[in-house]
Amino acid sequence: MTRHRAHVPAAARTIRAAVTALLALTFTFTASAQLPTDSYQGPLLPDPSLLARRAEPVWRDRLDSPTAVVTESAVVYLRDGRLVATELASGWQQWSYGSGLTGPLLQAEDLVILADGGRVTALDAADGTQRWSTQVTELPVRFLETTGTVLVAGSGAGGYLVLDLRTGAPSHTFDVPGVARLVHLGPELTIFSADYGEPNVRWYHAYSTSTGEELWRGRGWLRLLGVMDGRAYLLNQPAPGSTAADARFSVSVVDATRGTRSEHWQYEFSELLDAWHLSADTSLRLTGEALYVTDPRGGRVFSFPHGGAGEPTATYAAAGGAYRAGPYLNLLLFEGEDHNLLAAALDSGRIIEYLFPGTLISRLDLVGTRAYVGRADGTHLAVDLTNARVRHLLRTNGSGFGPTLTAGGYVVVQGSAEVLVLEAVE
Amino acid sequence: MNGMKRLLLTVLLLLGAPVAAAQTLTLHTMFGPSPANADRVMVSGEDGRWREVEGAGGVYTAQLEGARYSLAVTCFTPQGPTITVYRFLLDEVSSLQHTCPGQGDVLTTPTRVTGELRTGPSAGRVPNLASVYVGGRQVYSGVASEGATFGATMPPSAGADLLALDAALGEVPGRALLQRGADLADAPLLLDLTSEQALELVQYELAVADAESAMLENTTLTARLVTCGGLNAPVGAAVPAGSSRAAYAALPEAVREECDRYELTALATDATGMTLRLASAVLAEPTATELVLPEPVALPLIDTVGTDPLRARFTWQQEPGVLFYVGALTDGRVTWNFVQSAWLAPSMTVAPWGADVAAPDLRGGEFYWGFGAVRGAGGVDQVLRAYLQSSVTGQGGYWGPVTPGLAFQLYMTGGPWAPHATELPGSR
Repeated sequence: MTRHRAHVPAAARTIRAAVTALLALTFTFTASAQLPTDSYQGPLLPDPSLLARRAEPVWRDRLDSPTAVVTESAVVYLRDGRLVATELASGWQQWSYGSGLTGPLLQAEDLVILADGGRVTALDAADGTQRWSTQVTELPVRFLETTGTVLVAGSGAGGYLVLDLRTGAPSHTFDVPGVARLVHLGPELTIFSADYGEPNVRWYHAYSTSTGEELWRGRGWLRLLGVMDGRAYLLNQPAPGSTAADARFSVSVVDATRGTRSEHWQYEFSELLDAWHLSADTSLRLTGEALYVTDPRGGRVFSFPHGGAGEPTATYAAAGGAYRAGPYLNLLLFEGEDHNLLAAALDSGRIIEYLFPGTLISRLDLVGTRAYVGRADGTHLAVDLTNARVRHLLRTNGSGFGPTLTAGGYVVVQGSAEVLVLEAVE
Repeated sequence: MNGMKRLLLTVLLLLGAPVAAAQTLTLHTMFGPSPANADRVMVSGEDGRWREVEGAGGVYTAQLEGARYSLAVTCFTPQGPTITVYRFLLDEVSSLQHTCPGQGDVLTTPTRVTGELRTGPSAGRVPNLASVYVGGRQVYSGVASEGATFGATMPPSAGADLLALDAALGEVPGRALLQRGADLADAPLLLDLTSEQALELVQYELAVADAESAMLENTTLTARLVTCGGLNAPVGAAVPAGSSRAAYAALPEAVREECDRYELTALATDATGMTLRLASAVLAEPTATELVLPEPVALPLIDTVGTDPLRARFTWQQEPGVLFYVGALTDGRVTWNFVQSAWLAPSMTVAPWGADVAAPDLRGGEFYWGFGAVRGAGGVDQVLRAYLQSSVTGQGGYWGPVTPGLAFQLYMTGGPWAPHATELPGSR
């Protein structure tokens, strides 16, 4: 390549020379003045490729959003507004469908269910042929959920429609008022949280899944913790004017079909946790054995028994880390201060280090006995929870991750803009 | 450098007995105590081209061609990758076991062992010493005082053997309490060395031959009891260094089991510590034993240094009975281990044998190395320990180019090398 020097007018040359001289003077002066300087050296992290086997994807492709689903042999995802099914093993496209699509989508039985505006369409997962298509609402469908042969679809406003999964025929509606969100869908009971009426008041509406009959409604709860054995567990709002609200909380145990409160579990932290009730970052996990509650920062997890308690039965923490998931395999998983992955064992509180320090953890999926970790630097790692062995490290071009999916002998990694398929490492 | 030797010992593996004309190699890999695939296994024949070998459940079958081959096993750890390169003749080894450093089941709660010792009164004014071993771990060592308590947290160990010993100071243990397959869940344990269950141990003599050698001033005699239940405990008397005779204790015949073993070792070093001689014997039936120290294997010399990739040539004088040359090189990030058959010596007319060490990933900074030759006449355990006989370790460094065409300079310090080959910092 030949470069031609641009013509520069004389005045401009003069100015440029003057500026150059001034800059030279400035630098000379700066150097001689020895202005005070300051600096900070952060941690020097080792190259992660030295710490785990580098995985090479079998194939990779563009992705509109990390909403892919997997079938027996393919991964189905949105690319440039079109739904495509690509064979896991080969990367060959099996079928494609539509245009200008944004989802959401889900996989159920042998179908891929797709929302397109206010319409829901079911495709044969094997060949992409349309099985049925039903107009659900005038607004774009935002929520799709299934249980058994029931599909629930809705925009979040104006109620939800219940369809037969096999035919797409509408069977009944859930006439939830206001702006509503599906918080529980089971074969018998469906519960929505809805905001309407007075400000800062959240209603809970429960319906029969099979008929749409409203079973009960109630208010005064902050969140639904779970539905087990015919009972719904709801975190109560603190009593108005209570000065010790952040040192205690309570749970209502409600008959799931009648809505009557059968038990009132009262708990105390035995210390004041500032703004605990107001924090949206507080996590609560109800299991069949215990209730696990974090402090507002997530640094500690308190374990309480069912039925209420004057103090936690155990407190778990991981060296300044923040709670991320669990209980899972009797572990509570934390992201350490150095962004390593740690776990506290429920039985003894001992800390297990699963993953070396690195950048921020942006995604954590627990599948079987394996943890899949996406980091903000675009690396995706798999680590075995049984023996703390790192099984792969994958470098992607993105920074965020969607759910990690597994099918057969493959792992599907969803980056912020691409889907990558790996062979699962034994 | 002890760390380097430990590193080497952990990667030196069960090397199968030579068989004739093997065309396949079966590689068994472990992750800690469990069979599991390594992170990568590659094999190369005489053409030098590497190909990956697929394994399942920690079993690899490599098809071999040509007269010799190389096998590279990569294990990733939180400290960085460890790459072990094996080089053998085609029909020299039929099976190989390689263990990647790793933990066992981290989900299982460790075992907490607590207990109390009861001992009789000491014979003299000086109190006796008591010790307690569970499996290969010592959980108590101290004065044998009445009611001494102990506690230790151990990896989950179902059915490990437990041994409590009572010994007069400087003497071989006289009494013991042995619990095979001890149930450690029922804490606390009560170990009563005065009870009827306590065993009166039998003494035997352990001696080392070559009493005229000046090296015997630095001789150590050790004896250990190893059982099938994983017990590994010292049963020898603590004698002053340089003693050519000592006693060791053995279980009474009535309680011996078929796979109990007594490992007897004599280790002698010269005044500089650079020459080590080691002899060991493994006995199923304890008896008075005299060990004969072998002549040391020749120490390696570094006779050439290279540039890009970083290369060092270690040379030994070829000796009969030396089966494997072993070595390791690490810069703290990547660790390379080498295990090579001595029978790969180029020819009988060229006495020195050279091990080419190429570590293309090593760039800049310090590194540590250790190389030695192993006399492999005995069992595998002896082969591993015999590595100590002729290993040399050291520290090196290299830095950026200083003259055109010279990519790296190299220097090494440590024990003995050919002086002409040593490049001191800045000498070019």
